[in-house]
Parts: sequence; structure tokens; C-alpha cells
Amino acid sequence: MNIKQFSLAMLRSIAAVVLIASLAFGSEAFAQTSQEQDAPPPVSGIEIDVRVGARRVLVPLAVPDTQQPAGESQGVSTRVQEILRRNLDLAGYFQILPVDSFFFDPSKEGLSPADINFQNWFNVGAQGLIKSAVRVQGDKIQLDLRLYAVDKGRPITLKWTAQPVARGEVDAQVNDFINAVIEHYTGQRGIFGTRIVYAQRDPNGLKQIFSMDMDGTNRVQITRNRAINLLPTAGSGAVYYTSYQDNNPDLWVYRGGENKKLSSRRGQNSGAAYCNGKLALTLSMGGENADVYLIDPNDGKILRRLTDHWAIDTSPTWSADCSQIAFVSGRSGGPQIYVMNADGSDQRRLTHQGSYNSNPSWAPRGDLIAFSARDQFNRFDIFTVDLQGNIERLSQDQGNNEEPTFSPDGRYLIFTSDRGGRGKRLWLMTSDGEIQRLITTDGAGFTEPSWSR
Amino acid sequence: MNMNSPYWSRIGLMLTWLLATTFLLGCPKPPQKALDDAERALLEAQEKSDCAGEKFRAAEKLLAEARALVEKEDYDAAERKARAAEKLAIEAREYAELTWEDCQRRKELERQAQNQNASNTGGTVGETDNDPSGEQLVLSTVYFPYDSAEMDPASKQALEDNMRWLRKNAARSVILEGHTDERGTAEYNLALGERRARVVRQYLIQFGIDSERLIILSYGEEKPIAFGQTEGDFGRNRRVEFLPQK
Repeated sequence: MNIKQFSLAMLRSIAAVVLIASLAFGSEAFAQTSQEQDAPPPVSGIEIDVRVGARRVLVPLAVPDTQQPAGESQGVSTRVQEILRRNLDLAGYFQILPVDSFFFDPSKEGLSPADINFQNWFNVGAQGLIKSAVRVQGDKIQLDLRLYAVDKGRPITLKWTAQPVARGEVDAQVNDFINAVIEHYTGQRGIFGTRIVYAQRDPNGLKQIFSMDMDGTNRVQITRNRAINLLPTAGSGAVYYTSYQDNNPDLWVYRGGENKKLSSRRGQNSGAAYCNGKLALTLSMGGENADVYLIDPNDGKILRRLTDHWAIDTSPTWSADCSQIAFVSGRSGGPQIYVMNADGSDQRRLTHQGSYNSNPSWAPRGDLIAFSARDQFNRFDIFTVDLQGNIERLSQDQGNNEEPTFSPDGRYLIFTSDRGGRGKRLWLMTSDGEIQRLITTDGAGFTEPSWSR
Repeated sequence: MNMNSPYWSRIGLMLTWLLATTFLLGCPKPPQKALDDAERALLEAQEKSDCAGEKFRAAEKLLAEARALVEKEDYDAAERKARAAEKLAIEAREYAELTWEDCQRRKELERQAQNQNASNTGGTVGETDNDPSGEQLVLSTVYFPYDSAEMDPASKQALEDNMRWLRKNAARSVILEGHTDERGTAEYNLALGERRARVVRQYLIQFGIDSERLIILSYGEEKPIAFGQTEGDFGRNRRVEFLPQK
């Protein structure tokens, strides 16, 4: 091979590399354009790819503006349409069609089937149509909310009726309608309007207890003192929480608008979990050691000591039938999830991966326990474990995610996350982790959520 | 042939790109993977570091040395050190897991024996109050490692100072206020803060301080003194404060 041939060969191999490189970069660009062009118009449900192997079908719903036939409704109609659109979207079963995709004027259309041009709604891709109107009658509000099957052009009968209500009850009535819509599509009523309790840090370094609707609205402050209050839980109409207002972490109860001290043994009195007349909690009995006990929810008397170990035992959570308790124990080193019978017998370890597993929340249906775990990159994420020890991961690569709490129907979890870099906020996810949405859109410092059951 | 044509300028660009790639690939880089692996192994060993003996501390030291070598751009040596740190950390963990139950039982027995001992000898253990007159005694805060209620030599030195204060002010009680950093769970941290305060209390009792004067209170992660997110901030929050009572 002479020099000329050699340099030719070199040139050829370089050209080949160039060709491969341009193909690699070029095909990426092509892929993008073809994706944009190929996006099919929505017909009967949108499939969204959330995780490998998991597909969830979303029903396309049209929710045109809420009408006010009797004129000004003092903001109620705006509120109704906001709740309908936001909460149906949060539900994780629907795709709410954008209002600007309606190529006709829906406000000219009435609420009865004869007034509705179903072909138009079909053409925008809607499978369900929600029509709504608000009438003000004196100091009462009458809601008219309807669900239509667009392809059949017929109203769908829901398990929901509307009586005239006071202004303050409008949210609850709209949420109840949404729950009925969810029942129609899934066979099981929704949980909108249920309450959660949580602690929020204030600028003075104190923490107060609040409750709110699970969508983040209608907040009520439960403690107003100059102390740190934390770890609230709710059960049978009462809110239990730990407060330092008497310079010891005592357990307090808020019932019927009154705050009362329930357990004030020296040291830790925290994390009360209520189930069928029993209250499980952590006591350290004079700072001796943290163990799980059962106390009487009315007078705070100790009924039974459930754990007795020199390591930390804490954070009890009940199985749905109140027969078992999952808890956190440090007996193997770092905190791990354990389970035991409600009398303290048969204590066994459930989690064997990772060195920091805590915050268990037992699902109201089935034997599934959600918890937060520190992974090998020192980040916290939400996982579930069943009683056989099978682990599933529900969050990943989105900041630190902790403190999961199951909804009363077991189909959702609320948890804290610092994703988005704006401090700790509360998020809602479907129990498979596929859909995750922010529920506290204002403020930060939200911690320790616990769903009322 | 026109050398200014787009074809030729493209070939030129590609040649530059090829050369640049070759150069970059051949250029030494910090051994990031080795460092990450070592850090992960250490983190996994951490929960059992109480019982991991000298190997854990040696692994920590090796990783620190590896990092120092990266600073000096001695990447080959850094990679070797990082790999050695990883290996040691894994061994430390295995050792700790193997001996965990025994080790914990032994520690608990030691603690109990120390208490027993202290109550039998009734305060004759340790030095007597022979502070030079005019010396200002202050109560210092005691610090702890991550996820742990074990005291290191620096913590014990701080306790020596506090014991002298306690002996000089024999009528005063103190609140031992236990705290943790913000990582982890609020409720578990409440228990961990209490455990730290209890370890300090038992240590003081063992040296003859009257248990009635030592009151435990844990705030867990609720009352940080440093509000940043650095290791330094976390370290300053993992503490037991001594608060004298009137």
C-alpha cells in the first residue's frame, strides 16, 4: 500500500464515521417530527405511558363553564367549575379537555339533552360531558350538575342528588358529585371532600396543626399556641397530636372544638393511631426507651405494652381490621418496618433492603404498607411492602419523598415532597405511583400528613 | 475542486471533532465511579458502624484520602484508594452484620454495668472539684455522628467540662435537650434525640452526678440551630444541649 492508497483508505473510514454520526443525530431529529405528526386524535380514551409495562386509560371529559341562568352568582359558578376541572383531573381517571379546543360556543347550549349538540362534543374528542349550572335562591344555592355519555347522546344516572345548600356547603356537594362520577366509571365511589391533618412550620420556628380537604382547600387551624405541635392523626371525629406547650412532648386530643391533654408521661408521647376504640402510640416512660403501647382513647390509661426492646420502637399503623400493627424498629440497626399482632405477639421484620425505612401507613384494603425509604443515593422515596416482604417503588428521581398516608379507599396516597425546590409540599399520587400531582399550590413547610378515616 | 465548498468544510469540522474526542478520551479524569461506589458502600455500612469496629473508620479515612488525591489531580492513586475504601466498607458491613446481635447485647450489658458501678461507688469515681479559682466554667454542647447515639472522644471531652460545672454548681439541675438533624423521620428522630440525651445522662451518672439533677427532653429534628443543608449544618444540629435550671 503506498501513501496515496493509505490516505484514501483513511479518508474512506473518516467518511464512514461522519456518515454514521450524521445518521445518529439526524434520525433523532426525524423521530421527533414524526412523533408530532403521528399523534392520533383522542377517540375513546387516552393511553399514557407512565412506567415501563404500565398503561392507564384516561377517559376524555369535557367540562364547559358553569352556567348561571339567574344572573350573578357571586363567584359560586366560577368556584364550581374550578372544583370540577381540578378535582376530576386530580382523580387520575380522566383527561380534562382544554376549553380552548371547543370550536363552538358552549355557553349558548342549555343543560337538557334536547339542547345539546352531541356531534360537536364527539368531534372535540369527548367521551363524557359534564354540564353544570348554579342558581342563587335567597341565601341558598341550588346546583344542577349532569353527566352525559357523548356517543349515546344520553344522560347518565348517578347516585347523587342536590338539595339547596348554604354557600359553605357547595364544595362538599360538588365533591360528592365528582365521587359519583368516579363511581360510574370505576365502580367505586371517590374520596373527594375527605379530610387530612398535617403540621405546618411557621416563620418563628413553631409548628401548628391544621386540617384540610384532601385537595388542599378549606383549611382549619386546630392548634393556636406558642409551641411546637407535630405528628397529627385523625380517628373517629378526633385529632390526636403531640405538643410541647407544657415543655414535654405530650399527646393531646382535639375533639368538638376543644384541645385536651390525653397522655403526659415524661418523655415521648407521640404518633397515636386509632382503630376501633383502641389507640396505639409511642411512649418512652420517663425517657427510658421508646416502645409501642395501647392506651384508652378516652382517659389515656395504659391498656397494654406491645413492644419491649432496648432499641427504638415507634410509628404504629393498624391493619384495616385492627388485628395487626405495622411499626418501625431500630432493633437491627437503622429503622426498619416490622409487623405484629394487635396484642404484641409474633413480631417480625418486613423490610430487608436499605438502611432507613420508616413512616409506615397500612392500606385500608389489602395487606399493603406504604413507607418511605432512603435509597443508595441518600434520597428518600415512597415504596410499598406486602406481608410477604415484596417491595414496590412508587417514586423516583423527584427530590425527597416521605411520609405517605393512604386514602380511605386505598386508591391514593398523600405524601411530602421537596421536588420543585420550594420546600416541603404535599402531593397526591395514585396508589400505583403513576400519576402524581401537587395539592398545596401555595406556601411551604407542610409536613406529617395523615388521612382521616 | 473548490476547497471552500460546504462538503470540505464539513469534513474539516468532523476531523476536528474526531481529534477532539480522541484527545478528551485520552485525558485523565477524576475516578467518579470509584468514588461513588465507595461512598455508597460506606453509606450502607453506616447503620451498623457502631459494631463495625476499626474497619469502618479506616474506610472513611481512605475515602477522605482519595478525595484529597482528586484535589491534587492524582487520579490513578485516588481511584486505588477509593476502591480500597469500598472494599473495606463492604467488609466492615459484613463484619458488623455477622456480630450484630452479640455486639448490641454486649453494649447494652456494658451500659447497665456502668450504671450499676456508678451507683455502687456513689460518686467517688472521677476527679474531685479542684478547679483553679476564677476559672470560668461553661456548659458546652455535645455532638453526635449521623444516625447514631455513640459518643466520640471530642464529645467526651465536652462532657468532662460539663461535669466540672455540675460539681461546682451542685445545687443546680440541668435539662439534657436531645436533637437530631432534619434527615429522616420526625417521630424516629424524636426517639433518637431522646436516646442521645439518655446516653449523656447515663455517662454523667456513671461519673457520680446525681440522676435527680439530670432531666431528659428530646426535640428530635424540630429545633435546628443551623438551617443550611450542608454536612456542617447537619453536624451542628446533632447535639445534646445542657440547659441549667434556676
